Amino acid sequence: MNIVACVKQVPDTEAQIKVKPDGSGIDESGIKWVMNPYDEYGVEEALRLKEKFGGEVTVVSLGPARVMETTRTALAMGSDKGIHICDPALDGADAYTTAAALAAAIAGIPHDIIFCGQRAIDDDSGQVGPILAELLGIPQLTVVTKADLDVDGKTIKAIRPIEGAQLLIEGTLPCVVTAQKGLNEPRYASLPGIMKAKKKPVDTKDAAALGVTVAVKAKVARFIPPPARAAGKIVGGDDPATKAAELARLLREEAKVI
Amino acid sequence: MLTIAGKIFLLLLIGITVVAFSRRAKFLIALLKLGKAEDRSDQVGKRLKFALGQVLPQRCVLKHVAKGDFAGIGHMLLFYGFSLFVISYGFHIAEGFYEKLSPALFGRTFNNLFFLLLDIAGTIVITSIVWAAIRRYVIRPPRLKLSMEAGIILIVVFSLMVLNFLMEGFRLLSEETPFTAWAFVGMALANLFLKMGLQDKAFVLSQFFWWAHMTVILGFGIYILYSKHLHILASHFNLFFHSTSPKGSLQQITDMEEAESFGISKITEFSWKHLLDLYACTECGRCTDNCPASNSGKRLKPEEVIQNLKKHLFASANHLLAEKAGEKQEETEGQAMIGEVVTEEEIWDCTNCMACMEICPVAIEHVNKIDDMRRYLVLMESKFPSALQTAFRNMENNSNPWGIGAHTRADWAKDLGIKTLTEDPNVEYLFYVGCAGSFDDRGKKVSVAFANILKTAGVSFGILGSEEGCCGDSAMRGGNEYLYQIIAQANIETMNGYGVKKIITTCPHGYNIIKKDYPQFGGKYEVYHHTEFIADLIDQDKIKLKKPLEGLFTYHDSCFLGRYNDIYDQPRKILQAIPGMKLTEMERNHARSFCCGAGGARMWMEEDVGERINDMRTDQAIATKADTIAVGCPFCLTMLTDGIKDRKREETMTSLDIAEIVWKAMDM
Repeated sequence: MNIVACVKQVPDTEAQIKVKPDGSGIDESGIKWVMNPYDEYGVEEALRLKEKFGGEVTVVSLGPARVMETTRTALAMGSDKGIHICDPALDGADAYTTAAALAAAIAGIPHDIIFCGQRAIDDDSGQVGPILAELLGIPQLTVVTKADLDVDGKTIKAIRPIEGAQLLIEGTLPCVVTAQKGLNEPRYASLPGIMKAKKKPVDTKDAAALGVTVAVKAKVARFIPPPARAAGKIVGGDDPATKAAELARLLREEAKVI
Repeated sequence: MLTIAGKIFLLLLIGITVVAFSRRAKFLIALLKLGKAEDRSDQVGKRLKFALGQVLPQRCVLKHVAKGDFAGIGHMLLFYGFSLFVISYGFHIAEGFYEKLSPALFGRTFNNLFFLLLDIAGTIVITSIVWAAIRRYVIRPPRLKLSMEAGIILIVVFSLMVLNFLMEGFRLLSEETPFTAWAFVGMALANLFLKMGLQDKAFVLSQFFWWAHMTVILGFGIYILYSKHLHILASHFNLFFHSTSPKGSLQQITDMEEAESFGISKITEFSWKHLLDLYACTECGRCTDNCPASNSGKRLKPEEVIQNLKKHLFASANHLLAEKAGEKQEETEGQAMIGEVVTEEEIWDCTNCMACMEICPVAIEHVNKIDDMRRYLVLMESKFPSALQTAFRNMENNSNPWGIGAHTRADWAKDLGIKTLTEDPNVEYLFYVGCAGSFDDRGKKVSVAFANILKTAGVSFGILGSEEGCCGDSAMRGGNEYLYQIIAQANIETMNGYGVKKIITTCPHGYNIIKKDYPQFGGKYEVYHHTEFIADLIDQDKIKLKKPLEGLFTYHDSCFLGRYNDIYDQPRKILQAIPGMKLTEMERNHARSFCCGAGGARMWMEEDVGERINDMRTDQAIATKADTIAVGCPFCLTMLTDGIKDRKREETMTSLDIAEIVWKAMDM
């Protein structure tokens, strides 16, 4: 089975995000970059399918040179090879352009099933997977917590949790699956895996090589840091009754919530 | 002297013994050679001194008598008594071939003294054996298991003594001029036999018991190598080949890029010394008796690990030896060492507290074996408790197991005016704060207290700020040597970059790893634990403890400070220097201290089997009626604070780091 896992490199959830003074983006200095956690579920699911059906897992990523580290992480987990789309023209690309570049790369290789994270934790757009499926003209099963293939690997049944229920979605391969938390527990790369990953082939391509024209449809106009959190207030007073009265007054008059 | 036929028969007996003994010895040595090479031939003088120092004065078993381990006295009596008998067997055999080769050769007085001593020894051995049997079969202390081998050994040694006395009694009765009159037991028996009218048969009976005696002792000589009594030979060698590397340090994995396998998953991947450990174990059970995991109802029992490995080695011996000899082997489904011989649960139960190794009379290295198996599970199989995976990820991404943003590492020091080494690289000491001191709310208070002490004492120090990384202890002890090495190398690069020479830590884990393991990567520093440092500041009068502190204190020895680094006195000295200090000891203190449950990366794993180790330690502290548990380790601090909460004692009891206590007493 030819399995594809798309991975994005994002700042670690604990990283300190500072917006550049001109609002053109974030200050990348001192940021620890990691694999988007939802993509990690996708990679893990891809590896489990490979273990079950045999075949190959190709990791496809897009971004500057530093993204290679994330690609190697996916290779260390057990993926076989990588495609790294690296082109300054694609820096800050919107969801559509990103999906178009991924589609161009994936269209050029055999693909039975493609995994993406349901969204990336940096821009939270959640569109790349669906657009990718549209561009490739194949079904999409999104935000899934369970993905079961039939024994022939021809059809898929996936579970998507929604408010108060679960949807059982069926589809045929090839298809795009976007992974939600709960799909699996991603493995920790073994040391031989890490060492082998250094020697696995990664094909670096630019937009021209893929035949992608950069046609941005949505542009981030400005990054605005969230307002600084105001200091908390400790309600004073001699006894609980006075404190409670003061708290009620503040909630009503200042916070205007009651 | 024996007749010609007797001599031939004795020669035959000796011959059989020598052949059987050497065959088995050869086999045992061949098995050791299946293990990996490891150089333990350095410092011969030091090794010899250690081994003799343990064996001759029986320090190996007597070292814990003061703590109530009286079994050591019995061992000592048996050891000295039986050793004397070994000499007597030499005489017996020599005398059999040539009459003059008896103790009388060295003069009448020597002869008399020798037999007097031998009778005293025999009496002591018999008494000790009877006591050992009562202890083992009637009193039955939990650490001893009922084993057939133990029973056989007791019976054989007992019968050797009895046969000796019978032989002696009849011989004294049969001789016209008895060979000695000082053998009081022999003489008493001779008188008894005389009264029983056995004088006519005395010679024949003395001969009979002589032969019986010889047969049993020679047979026993062979049995030693086939039974757990192998320890009477192997333990000497094991003590000689004991580890001389810094106590508790783990052997670094080298050649990470090229090696094909990491850690240990097969018995032959252990070094020969680790296999010799298996021979030296005599199932005394002291390790299990002192193990916090065993005591809290976990699966791990260190003695069983050693014994099961030993059984596994013997069970797979023929297969392995043939394989080594290049003979083609059918792929037999032998037991998997990890999983079947030693379970993963046992491997992860260990807190690396070193209680087993500290108490072991024969220098067996349990913890190193367990950690090597952890390395296999983590590095090769990626099989480990999932909670540990979170800790590993956190160490990778934010260089601390808590996973709090690395940029906040120095936030605790924000308003204290502490310089980082970037701001002033010329300070004398680096205060390596560590993860707990930087990210854990409780730990941060300790860092602040200690920094205040340093500032008051006018010590020239700085911190690394956000350039500091995790020390790597939890990665290393959790089996993730790869992650540990990345972390260690990054820290060493930073520290060496600033030309750091002297380091103070408030965490014994950082202290231990920087002091003992970093040198393997070129990080060579003078390392101080803050309790050592504060004790010095008090000695030099640089700080004044003026405010008396109320209540009763008890000090909890953390494993990585106490057993790992023998720092027992300084924390107590500090506490004693506080006016009005009332200090009491828990029942288990110093080298026998009971782990808090957080070592060996257990801090990051779930503890859902048996009782919680920290609660057990808290109970031991509660038993002293102390109001404050003083500690010198942030992990212990967390565990005991939790224990106090679990036991609902928050109102009356608290746990504080030594630095916090000192800062309080300084009353600034």
